[in-house]
Amino acid sequence: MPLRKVVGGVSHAAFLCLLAAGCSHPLGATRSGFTRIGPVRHYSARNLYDAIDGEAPFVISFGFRSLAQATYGDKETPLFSIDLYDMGCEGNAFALYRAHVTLESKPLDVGSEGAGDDSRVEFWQGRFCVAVNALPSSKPVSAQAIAPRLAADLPPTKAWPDYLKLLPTQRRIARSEQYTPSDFLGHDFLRRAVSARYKLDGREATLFACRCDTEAQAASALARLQAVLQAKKPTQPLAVGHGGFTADDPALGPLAAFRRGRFLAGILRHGPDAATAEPLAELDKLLTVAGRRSNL
Amino acid sequence: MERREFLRRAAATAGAVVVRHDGLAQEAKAERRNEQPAVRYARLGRTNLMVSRIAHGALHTSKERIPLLAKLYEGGVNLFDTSHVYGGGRSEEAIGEFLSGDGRRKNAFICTKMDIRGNLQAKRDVYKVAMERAEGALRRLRTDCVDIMMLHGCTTLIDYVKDEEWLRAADDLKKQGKARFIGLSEHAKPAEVLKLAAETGRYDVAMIAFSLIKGAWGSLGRTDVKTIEPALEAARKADIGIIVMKAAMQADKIVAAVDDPKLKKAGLSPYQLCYRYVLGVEGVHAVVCGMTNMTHVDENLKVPTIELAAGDVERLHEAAAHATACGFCGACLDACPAGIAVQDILRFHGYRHHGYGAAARADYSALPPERRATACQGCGTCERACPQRLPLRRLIREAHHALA
Repeated sequence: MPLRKVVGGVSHAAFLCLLAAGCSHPLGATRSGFTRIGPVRHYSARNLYDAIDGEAPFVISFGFRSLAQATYGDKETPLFSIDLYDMGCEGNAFALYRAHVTLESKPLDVGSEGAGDDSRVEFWQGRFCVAVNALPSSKPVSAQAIAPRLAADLPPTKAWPDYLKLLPTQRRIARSEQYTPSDFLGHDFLRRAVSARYKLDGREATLFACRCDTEAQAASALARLQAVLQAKKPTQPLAVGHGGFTADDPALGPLAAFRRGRFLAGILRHGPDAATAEPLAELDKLLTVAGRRSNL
Repeated sequence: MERREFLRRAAATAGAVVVRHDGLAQEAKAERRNEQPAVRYARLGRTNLMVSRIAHGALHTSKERIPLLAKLYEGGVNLFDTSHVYGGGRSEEAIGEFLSGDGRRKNAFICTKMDIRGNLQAKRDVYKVAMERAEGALRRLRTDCVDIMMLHGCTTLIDYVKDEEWLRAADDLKKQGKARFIGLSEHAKPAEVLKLAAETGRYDVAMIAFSLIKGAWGSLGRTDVKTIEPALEAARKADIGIIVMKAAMQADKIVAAVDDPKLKKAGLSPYQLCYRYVLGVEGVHAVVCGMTNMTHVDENLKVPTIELAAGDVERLHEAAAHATACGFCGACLDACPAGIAVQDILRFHGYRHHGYGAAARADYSALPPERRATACQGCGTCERACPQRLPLRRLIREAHHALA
């Protein structure tokens, strides 16, 4: 009988890859000196709801493949649990991590990037997004102690998503990058958006770039965005990229947008001025370069 | 004026006479906010909050989608439902940023939820963590008082509805003016939990998962209207406000119903029909819709005004009962001689139906060409292997057209 049927219809390909790569099974029978309580629980998009309830659609929206969960403890006393999300690629794992990691958690040196405290650590590494939860107990364990050893049992990659190369690095606020797979700014025509916050002239602004499949799609999306904004206030031309314009939106404040090849990009919460000229030019330059690469 | 003081005065002054469902005319103060003529509102049980029947479920809301909040607000939606677990707090942060501007906070109702499952299970630090969670929520929401604070229904709350430590925290949050009303949310056992909540007399609002489509996605939809009716009746007697969630999950399963000439609802989406169905159930005051784009807002704001004719509800039930969907058993994968990723293709197509078109297209494009639908030789082996006898050849072709 195929393995996937043994485990309830969920493919174990990711874990077989790990074992083939010489890694210990990240959810093996023991972990950090504790014994796994019960079997590893596997979930696909079909039954993810049973594991994380209403958060399932949120996780799925980032390209979720499967979730493996296990609980470890001392004899039958559960002390910590591990959620191992296989997101298919580092781009998806990064995106989920950045959208899901607890907002005020402390950055930690674990995996490609991690954060948390003794009670909970979240990190991503390669295609995996991981959470270690120390369970309330009379003899609590430290999630911070467990997470690095778990990361060591995942493929030792430090690759970061290529799409981050679309945005300038200068003046970028650390750990502010986000990836929005769909409905960026609430518009169904703005997809695959990478964004980050910047400190410009003492003020915060957000630079963004949406990837379209073709130049025509990008031009159409830009025209639709302009039409939406123009319905509220007239837009003004912007001398960056193709079809660039500036606008003032009641919810977003001053902003600018333009097209470069099949990318639609711009700046939010900051009107174009002396402080934004350089980052906008740099963004335009990066998109020009990226346009020659098929994987971006 | 302090916000708490404002709320106290608003509750004391704004008002209208509301007649309760049980027929006993009882004067109550209905609190109205941000009402628009085209939008329907309902009294949310004993809270007396007049909430928009379409509420915004902010699971997917973050600063990257703030214009969506503006569209909802301008459209007359006044109930925003969030939680500290949504986006690790980013949802509360975005709602706080939006509502704190231009005096919008006083025109909206905020409902947030706290997840303290681990503490409830371990019976440790329940009160302390609940109070900390509330403080964190208020900080991110940029307010000193939320309208509704709920116990977040992770898996099921069946064992914790009457937890004394949680209820003590809830009482103190009310006394301290940090939460005006207390509620709970429940996914897995809504009927049982709702009955328990009514028995305690301590809950003002309940958010429960049920939908037209039964047994759809994991535990979702295990509860249908027949099983929940007695609980809704108990809630009605206790005058608990009822908000329904997950009402349109797997809505694509009733696509055929949308085209049913007997329903005569041309132009409606299956999502609209699912939401409308739930709003028609007696005792339901509002439905939470997880909207991510402007099209969702435009569609959903029309839902409460959709007229259902006699027999429509029965026809919707029939459509849902006859709906079939891929159970992702994998039989087709083993059967296909060409090695086409039938199951994955249908899964990606399912993502699209959930509203994640970009992710679905990206996943499909990542499949090697020889595993995509275009490599199908049309032999039909997969259909013979499928225990549900789904028309897989047609389904993967449709998926290809939608995703390629």
